[in-house]
Amino acid sequence: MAILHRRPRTAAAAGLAALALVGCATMRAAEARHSYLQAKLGPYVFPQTCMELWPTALRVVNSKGFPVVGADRERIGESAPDFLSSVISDGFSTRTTGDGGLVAETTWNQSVGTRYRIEGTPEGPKGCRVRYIVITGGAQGSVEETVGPDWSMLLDLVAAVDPATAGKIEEGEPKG
Amino acid sequence: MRKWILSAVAITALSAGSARAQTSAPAATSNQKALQLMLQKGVITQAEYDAAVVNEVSVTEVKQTVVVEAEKKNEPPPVTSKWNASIYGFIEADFIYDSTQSFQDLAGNSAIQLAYPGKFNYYAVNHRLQFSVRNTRWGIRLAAPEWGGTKSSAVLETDFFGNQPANPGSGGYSEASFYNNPAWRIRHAYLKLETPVLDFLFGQTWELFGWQSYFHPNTVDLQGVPGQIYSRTAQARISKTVKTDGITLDIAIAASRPPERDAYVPDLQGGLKLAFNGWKGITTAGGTGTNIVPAAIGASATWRRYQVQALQPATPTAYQYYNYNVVEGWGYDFDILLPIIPVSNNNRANGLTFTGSYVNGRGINDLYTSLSGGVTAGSSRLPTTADASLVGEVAYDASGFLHTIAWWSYILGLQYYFPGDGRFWISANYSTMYSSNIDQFNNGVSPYTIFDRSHWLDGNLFWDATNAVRFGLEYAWFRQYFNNGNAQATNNRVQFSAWFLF
Repeated sequence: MAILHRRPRTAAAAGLAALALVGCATMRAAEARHSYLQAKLGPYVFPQTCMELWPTALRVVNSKGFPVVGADRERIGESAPDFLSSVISDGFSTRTTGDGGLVAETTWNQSVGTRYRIEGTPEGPKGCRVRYIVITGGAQGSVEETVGPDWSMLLDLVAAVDPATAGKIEEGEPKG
Repeated sequence: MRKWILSAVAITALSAGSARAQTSAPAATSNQKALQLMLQKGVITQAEYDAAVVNEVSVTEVKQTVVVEAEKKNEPPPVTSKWNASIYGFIEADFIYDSTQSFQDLAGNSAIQLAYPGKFNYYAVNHRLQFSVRNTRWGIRLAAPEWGGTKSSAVLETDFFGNQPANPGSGGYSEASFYNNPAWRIRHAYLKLETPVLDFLFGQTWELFGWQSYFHPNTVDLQGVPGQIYSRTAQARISKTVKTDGITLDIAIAASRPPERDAYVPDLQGGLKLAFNGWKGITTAGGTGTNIVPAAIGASATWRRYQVQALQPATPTAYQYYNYNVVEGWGYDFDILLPIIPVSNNNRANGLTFTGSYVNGRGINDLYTSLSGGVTAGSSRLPTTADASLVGEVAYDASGFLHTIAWWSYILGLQYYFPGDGRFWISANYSTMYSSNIDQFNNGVSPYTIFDRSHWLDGNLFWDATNAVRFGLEYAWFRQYFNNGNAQATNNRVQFSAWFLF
């Protein structure tokens, strides 16, 4: 009986070790891309005011399946939300912040269980720094967490307003 | 106002195709007709009409100008802040076949009906079919406007696993009452304050132990499954989250509801969780909570106190009557969520994720679902005045010493989301549990009623038929070992579930 019970433990330990090896390799690739985009896009300032840039910033995240809510739907030319949508949607439409910036949150993408907080911070008289912050927890979860900027989404925004710069950044991405 | 109306009409008239409007004379003529109509109706003045139809270029310019102006007019102004409320949850229908008559719809760690040589057991060899909607769930999230840098929010979440008079078949309680008229209950009811320095949580939610529900496995089975830490309770929690672009470190301590109120000491819990933000994987906690999350490792621990009246002689003295014993319970766990094939933030296809948890402790059976190992108050020699919740947590031996009951467990899971749109996925889980001392607490009962080891294995297939409707099919194998491993009981379960998620 003891042997019977020891075998699954040994197999489980071996399996875990194998998974850890595979996981480490994939982690290195994912983190290399994350670090590259962070280095390139972290300091990037859009040459528009946040107000000018904002509808595009909302459209980008909306087009990726993360619906903007409330008045932001009209802001990007979508129909106004119906009553049921407004009741079951998390997130909020654009608000101003104390430093003159803008912030909005999308509702959940049910398929992947995440949503976004979009923050626009003024940089000088005619510049704006944007961050797409991922919120996890899932539409069915009771605890939300923010897990840092999504640089890929920011790259999509750069591509929408400055395709040449976005192209250069994509060319330099680490492969594999 | 009139200028705005003119603009709107011009937009409507021209919006059929701006390129065509800019280059095609017939289109421009059509636009002029619309403007003439507006002029005839008195909606616009002659001067406004003239300005709009000077020539095609001008019309285009007007259109470009008014689009900007119209957007400005229609654009709702940003607000500073407001209250937020949203409803979430799902309707769930479960269809469950079991090869024995051991479990309700929620199996948890309940004992499997056992037959062994010399012991005939009707329930161990006959089958059961259950239809249930009790896992249907809904909740409401509330968030107040940010105030002085502090965010405040609250959650109330409920399902239909509330207290009912009895299980079907006992106490004259019918199956129809149990399944069709289930009692409503609270799952979560808490408020949270997030300040720039620390975060505070008060109320009932997932226990900190095990960093629930971050590392929960993906299964159609109703949670908690065998070997899974799955518990919510009232608590006061203080936490600090340290975030960088690359990692998120969570540190938390909590005073949770005492496992025994008459020991008058909270269950003290603490933990650390480290998430790697650039390494994301897809996971579904249970059957519904699909979520892209960062890879993470977690560790947590618990300490609790039990105080139980001492065993009494037939005619106790006053001293003996007031005497009691104290014993401490403890536990620790390690958790991992490992995206073997990572995914991006908006596509779960081809994602492969591993989840695992290891737990060791004493007097912590309440952190699992319906785990007693088959001991009873009588077999544990607990005094009749003791709280029923102590059964399975502590027990007296024949010499009158109070012990906590030991358990260790681990649960491992893999989930893979097929390429394409990721709407189909499969998962498999395995768990085992073992108690090194539960077999000795068999006072007055057959040792064949107490199990000290269990294995559980399942395989699942999920399909998101639409954005709101999900189906799941599961096969699960339950096995428990009784009387020091001298007898074993097995239950096979097949479950089909359908969800409407909102």
